[in-house]
Amino acid sequence: MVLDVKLNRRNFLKIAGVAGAATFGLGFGEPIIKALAQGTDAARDEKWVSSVCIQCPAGCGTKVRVVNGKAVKIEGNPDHPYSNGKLCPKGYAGLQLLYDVDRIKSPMKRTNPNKGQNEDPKFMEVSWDEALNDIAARLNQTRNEGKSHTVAFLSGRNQGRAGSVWTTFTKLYGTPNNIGHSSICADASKKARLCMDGTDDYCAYDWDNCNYVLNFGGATLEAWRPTNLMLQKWAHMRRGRPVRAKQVMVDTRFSTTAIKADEWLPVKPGTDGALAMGISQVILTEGLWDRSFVGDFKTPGRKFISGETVANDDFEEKWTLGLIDYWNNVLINFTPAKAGEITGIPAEQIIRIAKEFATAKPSIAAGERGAGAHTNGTYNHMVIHGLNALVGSMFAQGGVMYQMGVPYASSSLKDDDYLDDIAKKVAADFKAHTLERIDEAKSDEWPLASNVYQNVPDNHAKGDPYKLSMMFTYYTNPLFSNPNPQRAWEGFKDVFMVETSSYLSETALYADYILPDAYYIERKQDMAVYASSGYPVTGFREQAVKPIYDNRDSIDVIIDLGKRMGGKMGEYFTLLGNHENMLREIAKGFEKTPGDNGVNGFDSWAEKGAWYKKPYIYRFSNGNFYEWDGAGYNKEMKKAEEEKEEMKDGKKVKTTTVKDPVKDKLLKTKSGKFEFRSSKLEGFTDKQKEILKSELKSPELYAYPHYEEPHFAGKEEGFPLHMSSPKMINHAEGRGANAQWLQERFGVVIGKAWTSWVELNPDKAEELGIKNGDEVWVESPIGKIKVMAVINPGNPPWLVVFPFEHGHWNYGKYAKGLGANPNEIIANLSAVISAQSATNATMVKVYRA
Amino acid sequence: MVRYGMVIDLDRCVGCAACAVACKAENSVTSSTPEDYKNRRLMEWNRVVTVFKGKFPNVSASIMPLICNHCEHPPCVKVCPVDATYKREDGLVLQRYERCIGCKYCMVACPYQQRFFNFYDQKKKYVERFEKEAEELKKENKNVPITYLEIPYHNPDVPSRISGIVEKCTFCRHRIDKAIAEGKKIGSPDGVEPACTQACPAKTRTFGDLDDPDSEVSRLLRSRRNYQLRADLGTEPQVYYLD
Repeated sequence: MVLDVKLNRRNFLKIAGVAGAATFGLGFGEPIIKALAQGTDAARDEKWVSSVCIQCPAGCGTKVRVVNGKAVKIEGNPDHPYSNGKLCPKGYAGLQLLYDVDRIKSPMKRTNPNKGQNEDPKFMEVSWDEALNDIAARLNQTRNEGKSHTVAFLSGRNQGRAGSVWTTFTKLYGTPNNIGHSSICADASKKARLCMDGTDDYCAYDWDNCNYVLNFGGATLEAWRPTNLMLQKWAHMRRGRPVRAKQVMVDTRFSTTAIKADEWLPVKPGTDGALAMGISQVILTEGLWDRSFVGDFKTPGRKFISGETVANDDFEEKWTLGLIDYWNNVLINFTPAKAGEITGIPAEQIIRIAKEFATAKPSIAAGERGAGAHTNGTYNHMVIHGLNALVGSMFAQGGVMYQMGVPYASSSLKDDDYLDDIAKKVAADFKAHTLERIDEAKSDEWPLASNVYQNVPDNHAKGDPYKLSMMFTYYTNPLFSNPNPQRAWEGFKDVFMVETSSYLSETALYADYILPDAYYIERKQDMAVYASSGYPVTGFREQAVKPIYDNRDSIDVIIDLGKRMGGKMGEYFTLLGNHENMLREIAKGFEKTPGDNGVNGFDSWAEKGAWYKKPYIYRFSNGNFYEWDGAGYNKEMKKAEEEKEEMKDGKKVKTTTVKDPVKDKLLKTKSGKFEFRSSKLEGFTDKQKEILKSELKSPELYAYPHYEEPHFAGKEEGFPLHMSSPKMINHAEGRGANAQWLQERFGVVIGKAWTSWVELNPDKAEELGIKNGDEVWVESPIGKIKVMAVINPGNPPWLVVFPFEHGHWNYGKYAKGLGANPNEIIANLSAVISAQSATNATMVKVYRA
Repeated sequence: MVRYGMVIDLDRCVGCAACAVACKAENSVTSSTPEDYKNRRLMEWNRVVTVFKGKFPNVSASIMPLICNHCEHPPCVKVCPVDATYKREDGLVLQRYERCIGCKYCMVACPYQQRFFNFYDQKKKYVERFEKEAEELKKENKNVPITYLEIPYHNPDVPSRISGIVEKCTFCRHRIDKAIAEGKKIGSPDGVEPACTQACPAKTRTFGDLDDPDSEVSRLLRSRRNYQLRADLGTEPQVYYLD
C-alpha cells in the first residue's frame, strides 16, 4: 500500500475544479462532469495494495488498485525486481478471473456418482464444515484400513507456504504421494544440470552483461518464465546499453521469439542436442574453449582434431571432469556436417554460430521445453548445458548461475515431532522401496525424476503399484493438461476426488467435493520468484479485496482439515494455527537480513510487496571462484583443511576434514567439478543402469551428454508431420481460457483469437489441398480432432503447430466448447532420466474435414 | 505550447501485446465475447498486428503495435458532422461521447482504422446476462454477488459507454488531466504516461511533449530511424515509429 489516498467529496471537487479550469472549453471529461452534474457522491476510498501475479510461476510483484473495495486495475510493482512496474499481458487479466461470474461460489458436493465427460455432476452446495468433516472422516477411515498411501495430492502452482502445508499434510497423514506436475512442465533441463553440475534447478542468467544468447527451444518472448523479466531484458540487451547482444533462437517453429531474434535456426524436432554437439565440436577443434574453466593441453596451442582421439594424460582439466572421454566417445566424429545432416541447419552456419558463440563472450547457452519435451530431452539439455562450461560461462559475469534461496526464518514447529506410527511406517517403507509412489518417481525406473505426473492415470488403472482411493488437486488439472488425458477421464472415474479450483475445470467436473480457493487477489501468500535473477527475491501477496463469493484460501482450508483429522496430525495443525501465522514466522528471517528496499519484517514486506537482496554472491573469474565480501568479489573460494579436536571414548581425537566451498555451494557433483561424464548417472545401481540403457539407442553413452536419436509416436505408422503444441504469450497455463482480454488477442502472430487452430506451412497446405480457415482433422495414433487450419508462412513444411489452451468442457461460459485440446492426440511418452513428458514427440497427419 | 506525441521503438518491441491488454483494462474498453469476435466487433484502441514477408525458409515478419496517431491534421475531425471529434490544444484527438451520433464517418475517414463503434451499452449488456440469476437469488433471499450487478473492475476514472457511439484512444486523457490538476509532471520517462506506455515491459513506447526539445520523445526523434505511418497522406501523425 504505497498510496493510500482518501478522497472525500470536498477534495474531489477541488481537483475536479482545477481540472475543469485547465481544460475548459475543450470538451471536458465525462466522469467528473457526470459526477458534478448528477450530484453523485464521488467520495472515493482508493488504495494500491501489493500482490503477486499468479498467471504463471514467475512471481512478478503487482500493485492492485482498489477503489471502494473493488479491484479496478493491476499494474507491475515498481519495487519488485522482476516487475519493475511492468507486467506481461497475462498479469492484467487477473481482474477478469477474479470477477468471473462463473467461478465456483461455495463448497460443492457431487450427488451423481457417475463420472464422465457427459455426466452432469449434479453438484449441491454444502457448508465448509460439512465438506471438511466428511473429507476428514473419509481420510481417517482410509488410514485406519492401512491404506493411507492410496491417497494422492496432485499439485501445480504450489507457491510459498502451499508447498510446505501440502508436504506436511501428506507426511503426517502417511502417504508418499505428494506429486507435483513438474514432469509435464520442464524437468528435462533441471535434471540435465543435476547430472552435470549437481544442481537440480532452472538456471539464473546474467542477461545484463551477456553478449550472445544461444537459445534452444525456450521461447523467450512467449512462454519462458519469468516472461515479464525476459521481455524487459530482451529490450535492454538490444537498446538499453552500449553493446547490443545477439539473440540466436533455435526453434522448430516461426515463433514470436524466432521472428524477433537476430538469427533463427529452424532445427528438425528433437535434434537440438545434435546441433549443440556440432557446435561443441567446432569449439574444440577451433581451439575456442575457455582455458580458465576447462583447462588445456599440456602442449600449448594444441587443438582437438576431428576423428583423432586424445590421450587423457595430454590434457589437464581445471574445473571440468571427463572432457577427454567426452571427446573420444561422443564428439570425436560429430562434425558440423553430421550435425547439419541431422538438424537441417547447414554446416557452414553451425561453424559460424559456434565461432560467434565462443568468441563474443560472455555467452549463454539456454533452452527449455522445446529441446526438452522429447524422448531424448534430458540428453539434449546435457549437451546444451555443456556449452556453458566449454565457453566458461558457469557462474561467470554475463553467464549462468543458480537462484539463491530466501533467508526465511525456519518454523519452530517441526512436523517430524508429530509423526505417528502409521506415518512413520509409510516413511520407512518408502525409504526401503517396499512402498513406491503411485507415479513410481524415485523407483529404479525413475531414480532421478522428481515426478512422473503423466503416468499416474495408467498406473492407477493398472493397479500397479496400487490403486488410488482419494485424490486432492491444487492448481493442476490432470484431466486436461496431461498428454492423452483420455487416460485420466477413464482412469479417475473410481477415485474420490477433492478439487480446490475456483473454476469449473475438467478435474472439478470429476470432483466429489469442490473446495473453491480464494483467488490470489483475495488472499495473502508469499511467493519466491522463479529462477532468473540469481540474487534472492520473494514477493508478498497482500489481500487486496475480500473474497467475493464463499471462497477460502486453500492453505487455510488444508490447515483446517488437518485440525479436523485429530490425533498427532490434529495437534500439529492446531499449533500451526493458520496461514498468516506461518507468513509472520518466516518473515522473522528478514529482521536479520533486511532487504535492499528496507523490508525487515512482516509488515514492511506486506506493504512493499517484495524482499530482495543484491548482488548474486558467487563469481567465476580468471580461473577461480570468488565470493562477495560486501565490496567486491574478493574472497576466493579455496579448498581448506579444517582440523577439529573431538572427544571420542574419553580420548582426544584430531580429525582433518577438507572443506571445498566450490563443491559445497556451486559444483555439487561427486567430483566437485562440472562433469562431462556424469558421476550421478555412473552411480546408478546395476538395475537402474540396465533399465536406463534398455531405453537408449546408444546405451554405451548413457553417462555422457550426447545426441540420442529421438523416438516419435506415429513415425513408424507413417504419420508424416511433426506436431508442436506451444504456449502463447496470452496462455495463462491452462487457466486463462475464460479471460476475455487474453482470448480476444490469443494469436498475436497469426491474428486469430477466441479459438484454437493448427498452423501449416503454405506449400504443405497447398499439397494437402487446405486453405486458410478450412476445418481440418489432425490425426495421430491416439486419435483425431477437428480444428481450424491457419497458414503460417514462416513454419517449415515438416511441422504443424497446435497451441495449447482451448478444448475445455466447461471452465466458464467463454471457454466452454471453444476450440480443441492438442493434448487429446499427444501420446504419453517421457524423456529418459528426467521423466519430462515428451509432448513434442507425436507425429500427425492433417486432412480436410 | 504543449503537443503530446509518442515514439514507438520497434527494435525494442517484443510483440507481447501487453500494451493492448493494459489499454483495455485502463480504459474499460468493452471486452469481446467469441460471438463479438466472429462478428468483427472487437474493440482494440491498441492492437498488435503481424505482417509476414516471404515464406519458409526465406521469411521474415514485422510485428506492429498500432494506436490512434493523434494526427496534426486529423481526417476524422474534418468529417465529423456534429463536432463530436475534435483536436485539443495539447494535440490529443478526442471524442465527445455525448455528442457522437454514431454515423461512423470518422471510422471511414481514419486511414489507420483506429476508431471503433460501440455496439452495446456496456453496463446494460453485462447486467442483462445475469438478470435472471440475480432475480432468483433475490427471491431466495440470498446475497447477490457484485459480479451480477455491475462490471466491478470498470475504471471509475472513465465513463461507461452507451451503445451507438464511436470511441478511440485518448492517450489516457484522464491520467493527463489528473496530472495537470495535481501539478504532476507529464511524459516519459519519469512523468505520467498513458497506460500502454507505462505497461510496456520492453519500454518500447515513449510519451511526451514534441514541442519541448529536452523531452525524451524529442531526443528519440533525432534518431534517423524514425518514420510515421503513411506520412504521404499529409495527416502528420504524432505517433512516430523507430525502425
